Amino acid sequence: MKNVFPEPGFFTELAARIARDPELPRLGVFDATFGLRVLPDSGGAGPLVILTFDGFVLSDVRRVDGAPPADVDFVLEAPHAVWRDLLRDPRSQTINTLTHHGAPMQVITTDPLGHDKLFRFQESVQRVFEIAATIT
Amino acid sequence: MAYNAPIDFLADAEFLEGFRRVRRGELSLDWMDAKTERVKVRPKDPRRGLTYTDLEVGSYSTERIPEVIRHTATMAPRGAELPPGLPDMGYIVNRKSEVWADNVLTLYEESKTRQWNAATDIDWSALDQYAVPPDLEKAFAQVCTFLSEVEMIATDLPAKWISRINHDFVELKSLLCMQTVDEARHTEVFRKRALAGGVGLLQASVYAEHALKGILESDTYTQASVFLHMLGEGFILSTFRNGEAIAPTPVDKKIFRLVMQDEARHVTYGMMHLRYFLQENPNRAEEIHLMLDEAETLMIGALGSPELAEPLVILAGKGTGKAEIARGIELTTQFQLTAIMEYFRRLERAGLTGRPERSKFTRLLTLIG
Repeated sequence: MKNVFPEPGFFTELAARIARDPELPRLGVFDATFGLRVLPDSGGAGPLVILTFDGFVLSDVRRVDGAPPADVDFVLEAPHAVWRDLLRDPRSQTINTLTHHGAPMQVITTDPLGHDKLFRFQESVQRVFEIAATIT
Repeated sequence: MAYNAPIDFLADAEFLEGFRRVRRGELSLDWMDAKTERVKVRPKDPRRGLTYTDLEVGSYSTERIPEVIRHTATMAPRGAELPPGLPDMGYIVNRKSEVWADNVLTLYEESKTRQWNAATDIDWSALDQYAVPPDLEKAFAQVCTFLSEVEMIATDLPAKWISRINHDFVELKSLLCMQTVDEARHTEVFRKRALAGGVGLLQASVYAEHALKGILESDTYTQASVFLHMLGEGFILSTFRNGEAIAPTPVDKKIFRLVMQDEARHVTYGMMHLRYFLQENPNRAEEIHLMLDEAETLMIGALGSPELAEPLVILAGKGTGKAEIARGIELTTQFQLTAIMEYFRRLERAGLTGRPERSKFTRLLTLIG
């Protein structure tokens, strides 16, 4: 398995690094299930990788095709180039900056309660991408 | 001293005799036989520790709180035996649906673990690494002045109501206490940022303070909550998100990410409280609509006040030139429209339908094209 975003090996390594990270639990409980989708340059929707955080641990990583399951609070969706730039420099290209105007990254959600979890756990979500940036 | 107890303890023979008995080692131990439920709780998830959710057992559970509390108006802990003679604390909010939300317990636990310190969690010294143009620094100081001014209302409002809410809602009162701390910290961090940037505080806002007064003087707790948590904090949450996106330095981005988390918790409580309220009192939706008819006007005044709108435009456009101002107006308008749409969606999620059709924001959009 390659440790290249968004291949499965990347998320295996991400889970291992998250488990070792002292900063993420220091930010507080993190109860959210969110998806990451890389939009193919050829159009259409790529596979969805879903991360579930339960309290202080990343409890599940799964891949699904098609629409997000009902338990997903929000999905972050962007072309590969946007994800690549985020993972190169997550401190200047923050998740909030990328999603604020609906571009270049979109937040897909059907429930305001789920959408607001992106803001309730903003620093934790941001921290996940800071950890992810250490892999590539 | 405003309160005179019915007992003068130093002149009460029965009390003094009881006091002497204890001193002699003659203990009554009546309290050992209190008619309460005996339980033994443990954390379900040791990493989270013993949470209020772990205490949801038997008669101690929040599910057992009745819609109308008639049996106690005291500070006795819910579940304790209530001996005769407890003084009435004068609570005026005694209906569960007028304060409750299904996520009170989890939000309280979440808020405790996600606290941060405006003195030490912000790298204040790092501000020296960034050369912010003077106009942008002044604009940022003005935004900080505005936010430092308005944030304290979200401390004052819950603080005003906490002592009026029946003590059986102790978890909810505790959540409101956490909000008062959150918002004191927001006032603190924006005050510190204004002074740390070399400008200091700039101008207070008359329009904003009318909205603050409106929030503080809401007729009922639920009306106050909808005004504060959903309308006021909903828009301030959007302002924080916008602030993070247009902030002049990474230090400022972090400030906005941290305040955003707290604000979103408060909005989430407000949304779920309104939902609970309307589920239990579907015939009172019009009462909320009538309040919002007036509150939205006040909020339009606050959001349109030059002390907020102008510096946001300058920060978004990254300058005071004509092209920068035009770009700033475009981006600021986009964020304001998003904020309005999210406000409508949250109200709908809470069960308040038909708001866009009668909203002052809809009229505003028509007026300004």
